[in-house]
Amino acid sequence: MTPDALARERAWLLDDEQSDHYLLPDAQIVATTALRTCKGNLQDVIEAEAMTCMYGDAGFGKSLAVNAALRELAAHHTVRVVFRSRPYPRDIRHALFHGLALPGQPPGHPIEFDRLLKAALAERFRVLVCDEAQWMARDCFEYWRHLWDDRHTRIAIVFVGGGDCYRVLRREPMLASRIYLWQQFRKMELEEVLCVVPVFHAVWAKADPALIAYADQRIGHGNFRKWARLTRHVLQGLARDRDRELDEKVLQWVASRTEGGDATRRRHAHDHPRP
Amino acid sequence: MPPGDGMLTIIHDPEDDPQITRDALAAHNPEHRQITVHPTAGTESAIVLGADVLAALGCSITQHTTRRQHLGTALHAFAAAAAWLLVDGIEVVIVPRAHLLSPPARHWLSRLATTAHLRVVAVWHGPAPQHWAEAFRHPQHLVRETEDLNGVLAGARPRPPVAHSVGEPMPEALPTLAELPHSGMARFRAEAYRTLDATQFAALDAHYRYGLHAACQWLGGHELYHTLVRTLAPAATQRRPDEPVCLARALGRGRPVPLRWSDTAGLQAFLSGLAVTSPVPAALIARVRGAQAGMLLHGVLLQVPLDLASAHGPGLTGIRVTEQITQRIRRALPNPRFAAAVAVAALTGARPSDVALNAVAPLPRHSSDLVTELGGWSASKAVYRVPLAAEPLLRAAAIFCALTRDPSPGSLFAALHPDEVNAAAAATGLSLGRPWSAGEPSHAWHAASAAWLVGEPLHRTGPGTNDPLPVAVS
Amino acid sequence: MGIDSRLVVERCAQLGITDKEFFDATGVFPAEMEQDTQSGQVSVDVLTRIAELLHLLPSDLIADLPSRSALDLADLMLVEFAVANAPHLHDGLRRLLGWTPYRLGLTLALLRILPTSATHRLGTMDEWWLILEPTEDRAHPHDREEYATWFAARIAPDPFDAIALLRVLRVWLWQPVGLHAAFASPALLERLASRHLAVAADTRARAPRMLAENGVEVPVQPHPDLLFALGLGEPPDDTRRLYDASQLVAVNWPP
Repeated sequence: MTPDALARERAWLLDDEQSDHYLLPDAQIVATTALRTCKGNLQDVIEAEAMTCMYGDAGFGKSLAVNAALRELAAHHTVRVVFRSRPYPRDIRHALFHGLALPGQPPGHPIEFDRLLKAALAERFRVLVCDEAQWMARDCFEYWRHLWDDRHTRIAIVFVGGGDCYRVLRREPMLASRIYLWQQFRKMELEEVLCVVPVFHAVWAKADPALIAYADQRIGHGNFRKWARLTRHVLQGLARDRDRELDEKVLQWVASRTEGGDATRRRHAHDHPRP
Repeated sequence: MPPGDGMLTIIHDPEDDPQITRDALAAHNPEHRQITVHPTAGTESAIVLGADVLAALGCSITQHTTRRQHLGTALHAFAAAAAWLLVDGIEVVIVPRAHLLSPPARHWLSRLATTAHLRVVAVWHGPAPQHWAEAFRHPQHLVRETEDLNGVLAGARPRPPVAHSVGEPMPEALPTLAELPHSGMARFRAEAYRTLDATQFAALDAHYRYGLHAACQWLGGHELYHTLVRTLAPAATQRRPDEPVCLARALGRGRPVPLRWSDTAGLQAFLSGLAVTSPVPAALIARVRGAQAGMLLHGVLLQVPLDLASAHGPGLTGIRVTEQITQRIRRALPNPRFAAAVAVAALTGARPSDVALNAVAPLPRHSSDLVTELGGWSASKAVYRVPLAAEPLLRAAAIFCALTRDPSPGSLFAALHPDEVNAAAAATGLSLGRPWSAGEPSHAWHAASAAWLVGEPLHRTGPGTNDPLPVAVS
Repeated sequence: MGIDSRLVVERCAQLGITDKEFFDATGVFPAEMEQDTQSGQVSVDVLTRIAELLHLLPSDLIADLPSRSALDLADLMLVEFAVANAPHLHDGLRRLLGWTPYRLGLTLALLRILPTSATHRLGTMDEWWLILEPTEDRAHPHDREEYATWFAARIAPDPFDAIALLRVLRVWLWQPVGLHAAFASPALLERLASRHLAVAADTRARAPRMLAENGVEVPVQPHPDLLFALGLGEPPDDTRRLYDASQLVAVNWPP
């Protein structure tokens, strides 16, 4: 796939709310602590036209939080690029070219390309979101720095990444000295789960907190993506048997579907924890 | 140590402090003889670094320009950069992110410092190598290290103001004339007076008077002229004061005149000099007619081609080369040779393709006169006065040829193909004057001009600076 | 074609043009002119180059009526065609044909001398004017135009004209009006007058007997247009005298 085609596939403007990847029909974006913190941080980053890094394991709501916050703070000023494999600086150029909706064909010479991109980024303020940042190597980060350090560009850069993202960025002195703030996304504690889940979807609105706690302890583990998947399975289960109510048996059924492996052994381990 | 000495100064920034990079980028100030080159990220190519220097100097770098203008090697890219740096008087080149440059790129940077006689300030944002001199392949005694970027950049000096010719009046724009007299010198001014309204006549007459005054000044300061006039003096004093003037006798054999004006180069330089500040062809024609009148007042006959309005050459088929025009040429044509070729086409009024087909010598060191076969009369060379704004382009082209070891040092554009020069001219977007038609003579109007001393000057002898023409009556 | 080779040789000597320079500019040697012309080797093109080099009018070079076969017939036919089809051409005629002014001037001069074709008539008022008229069946009142050659309108004095002219100017500037004048032969006055350089002087001064016996008897003075060109006279139709000759001073002479 050519860089240009890849860029067209990958780069898009800030997504429509409904496509935030684990939102269900009738689900709500909940103002978790992490999301509220993220919004406040992004507000500061935007004001400072700085760089920031949002990191944490998969499923802890990083992309959702960033997207939701930027929809409020800079809906028409945000360009998001994401790479699923190791990119090169030319891939970033092409992704930005399409993300900024620049006319004509992408230039063939890197100097001409950068002049064009910098001119576009100097016209007005923009937030550049680089998702899955853990894929990028040093030369890519250097390219982001090149754009950001330019005297005329007006940009804030948001790196979003899971896995090794923090370690990868932290070991680059060039980035470490430029990241204005870091935000780690962690799993939700039980207390927050009990507050957030009932608001997240109506199926949990009247559920017993003990049931919610059981679901979190068994399946959700404080991970919003897991909770979304869990909720979808619950809805499917209840739909098959309309007389059925949400109880522990339903959750056990969901667990058997979602956990895989020796579910019986895990259930037994859960029901009879070792001293 | 003064700038411009080939020194390599390393700013060591192991923590990659963004403020240092910001300060380095903010230090870009060509008017104070220093530029900052922000190397393109993601490449180790020395060619691209050379192109980065050109971009920092304001050149437009595209895939087409590098290919079409032969800048596809590090030698050519850096030679072009060095040439422009030298003519612009740049003394300091600041290069942040130097730690990411490849060894060949760093070596080219070192060569740039010595070739262009400037100081390179390389900002190294990582762990230091064992030997700076080795890392850049730069002479050890010309390398120093510091952490104080601002201290290094303090003392940048502004460029001197552009020199203007002393006493040269600002050229007046010429309104569109109802018609331009096609007459020779004897009738031109009178016909202009008869056919133009008062405003148009005054505007045209300003150029006429400019040419007349320029001719008086040129002859008044010319040694050859005074030498020739002195040879006439004895013949004139031989006549008895009361003897009627006898034209027939005056035209008899043995008379000292006419004396052919032998300083052809000087004459061509003077005539093309009239075109340097002329805004439009009509103004140049008025200036030439005025110059003919001025010369006749000094006893010199200046003959120019009969039909100036249809002739070719400086001021008639070229365009006035101003600072704005040369900036536009430089921006579009980073290769100094191409930039100079288009500038030569503009100032000579020649076709761009002809520039590549005729020998054009480099500009002599202390001269503003270009010598070339372009537009020459009858296989002779022609001399063109080069506008101040165009001089740097020609000098940069000569430097570029020397640095790239051009095999034809006597002709700046021998290595260019006519089609390439045409394409280069088109790339600037400039409209280079009236196109030539097939069958029209190829010589420039001023190269086909000649002068003779035909008598003593009509002025009284003695010092004075009065303009002999009366103030124009409105 | 009869070309005045003696005039050519004399002129070269006067202007200091060597044989080599002549050959470089024209392609023929001065001494071989007569031989070349009688054999029909000299073309209109060469003649125009010679005229240009020697700063002569092309018609000055023609000594005899040429035989038609020796001419460059293509030139004549081209001009006849152009004139017949676009009689209102003026400067455009030269550009249309792509010729130098000298070449067209020579061709027109030859046309004046030769019998013309049936498509147009050529008439002359004097040496410097040509009137091209369409034949009657094509004549339209608005197509009749008077043509002036560029020479009459544009010609600059040649060096010998200029020598004479300076003398006339000096007399006019430095001698009190009415007491002395410059005198010229009628032919010289005609030549200078046709170039707008001089006119017959309005004076009662009479030429000394010595000059009159040699035909040098016509008082002359600078043409008013020339005086205006030099800043020494008034604008046309303006009676105010703008300049006093006694105010003339040198410009930037060395001490």
